[in-house]
Amino acid sequence: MSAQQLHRPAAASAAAGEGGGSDGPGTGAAGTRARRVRSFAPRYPGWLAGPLLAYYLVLFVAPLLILVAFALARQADSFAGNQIIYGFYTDAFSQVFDSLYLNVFKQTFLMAFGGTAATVLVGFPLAYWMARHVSAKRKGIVVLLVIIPFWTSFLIRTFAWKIILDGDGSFAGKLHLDILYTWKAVLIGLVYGYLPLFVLPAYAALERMDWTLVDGALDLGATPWRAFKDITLPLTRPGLLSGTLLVFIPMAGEYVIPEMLGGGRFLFVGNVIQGQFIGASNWPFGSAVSLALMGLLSIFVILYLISAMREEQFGA
Amino acid sequence: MSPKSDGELRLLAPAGLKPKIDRLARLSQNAAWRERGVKVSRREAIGLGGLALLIAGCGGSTGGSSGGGGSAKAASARLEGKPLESNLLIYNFSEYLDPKTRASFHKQNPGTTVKETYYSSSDEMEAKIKAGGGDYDIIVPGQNSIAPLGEAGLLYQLDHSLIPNMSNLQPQWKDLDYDKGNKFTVVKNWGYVGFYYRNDLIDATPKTYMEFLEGLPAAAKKGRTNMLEGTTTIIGDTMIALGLDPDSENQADYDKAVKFLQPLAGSIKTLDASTNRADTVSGKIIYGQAWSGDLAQIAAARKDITCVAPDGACERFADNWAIPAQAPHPVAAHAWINYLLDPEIALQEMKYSGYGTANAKTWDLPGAKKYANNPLVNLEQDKINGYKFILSPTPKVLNLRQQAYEKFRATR
Repeated sequence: MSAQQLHRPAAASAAAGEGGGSDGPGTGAAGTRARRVRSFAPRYPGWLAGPLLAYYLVLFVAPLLILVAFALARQADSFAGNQIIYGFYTDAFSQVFDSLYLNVFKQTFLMAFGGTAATVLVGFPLAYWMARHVSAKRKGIVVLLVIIPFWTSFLIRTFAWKIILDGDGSFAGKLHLDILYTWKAVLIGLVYGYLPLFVLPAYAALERMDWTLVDGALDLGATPWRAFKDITLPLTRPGLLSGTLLVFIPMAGEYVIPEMLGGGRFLFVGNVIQGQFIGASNWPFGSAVSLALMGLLSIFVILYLISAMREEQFGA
Repeated sequence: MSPKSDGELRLLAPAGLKPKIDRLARLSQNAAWRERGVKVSRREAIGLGGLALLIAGCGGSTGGSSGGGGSAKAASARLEGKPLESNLLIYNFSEYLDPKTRASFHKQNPGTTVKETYYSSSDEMEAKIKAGGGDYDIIVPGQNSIAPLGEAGLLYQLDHSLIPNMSNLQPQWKDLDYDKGNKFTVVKNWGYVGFYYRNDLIDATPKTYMEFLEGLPAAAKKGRTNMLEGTTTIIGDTMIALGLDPDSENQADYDKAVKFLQPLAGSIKTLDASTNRADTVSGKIIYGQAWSGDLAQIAAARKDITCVAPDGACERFADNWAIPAQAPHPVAAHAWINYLLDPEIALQEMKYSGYGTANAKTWDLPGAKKYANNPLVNLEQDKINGYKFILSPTPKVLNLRQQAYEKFRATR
């Protein structure tokens, strides 16, 4: 627990720093109508949230409502006239529970779990090394190296794996590796594609940590593993968790990687959604599958939020 | 309103509206003079005023775009004698049109700039047209896209007087079941779904599509096998091979196809319809399903690959020129279709794509001899008659086929 308490000043100063930024326009308003209990905090001018709110309403809430309207609609029986009959039908949602689609959900989540675990396995040691063992001078360069792949299109990078993993190619061929168009290739693609999204938050968490605590624990006779387990891990948990979530969610919604590296034979939920919208023109069912995926992923987000809140309680 | 100058503003409105439009022009002119001290021409004034009306949300398009079929008919009646528009935008499969054809059309019609953009599947094109996207003048729907697009009023009713070269078509490629009377389409070229195998690696010599499917497990042990990604090529073609109706509305028929395909799933290494020809020519795929145009090109490129136009039943398809109902340049679009029905141009296209032409006069040209003797391009009519169109007449068929395809793809 002592570690948590020691961690607090850093967080508090960070919050103060943020507050300082909006100081200018905020103080005037706070002076005239200071109704808040914590009157010492600079008041955030509400209108600044306007653009974000508009963005959120137009580009998130409205499309979501459209999606719900589609999911509750029904596909017409003929190509003539309106293709979608609006109403409150539950056909599309009940079709999601067909064993075929439950199976696709299971397969997708298995791959996303596996991909996330593998990403943590590869990414955490890297982030640890970057935070603890790279000299301050070189840290910038190492972080840059992690980000550099983002400068190239995701599609091209995934296609590059097709060449690297090609059993007849000059790389995998020499190693007698014949895994292209199998789940292994899909897994490699997932880990490669989303690794930076885990490494960066994990690195940020490890970087911010007070390493003297670990040194102290070691001085007091703790084994390195114990120091890691009782100090490093609890202190960096929020960062690690958010990194994990950041890779898990897009992996579960992945479409391109299974299509390219799975040879089109690997079905993710994303591929079903694409097929329903484009192939079968069944927008209601495609929307229902999308909403089901969103609902399932929300469970993980809620779990994360609960864990993050508990973390905050301990900290405060 | 003479149709000469291209910068001219032409309005299509009921005659009764003329006094109102004149008043609108006067008001706009006066306002422009008052507010900005600018003199505007009557034409600009109407444009500005019309724009203002549109923005105000009351620019009533009185009876304009409602009722797809009817308005298409009315519009096509007015096309005759009109000059070609300045642009033509073609929306097509990639590598399905010789760039030289585009250039020569422009040479013949210097006032019209031709541009082409691409889609990778008919589904993609259909979705885009249905969503009202894109200002395309020409699209290339397959026979199974005609019902979904035509019935929804999304295709322009062709004005046959602007396509005199239609008489060049072989009679068997006119007036087809999917478009009686060539109301919406003209055949671009036709083809079938056949297969190929490496004759140095594969011992079997499959002749029918069924034999090809049955040979998959043995072939998969020797190298990469591929089938064309898509619901029709996987589910539809299997149903044809099994003697079932590929447009069945009966769930049991689709279950039979899935049941037949599931044990083969592990033997189909990839489902790819975009790089399959290149991967075959480079030796990566040793056994696969292919469109006939690709078969002709693969056979020409490699002697160790045997390409087969199947005996018995398999899928036949026809890709067609069509004009979307909302095409902004319908006159140029008609001229394009007519141009492509020229025997010499059709020959050039056959050379480029490897697909058999439906143009009767092309086959009489000396340059066509090579293709006439190619058993992959020029098939006996008996053989073609055994090949079946997949038409996808109702949404139910699309759904059943899609679900069967997903069942197959989810099989490990």
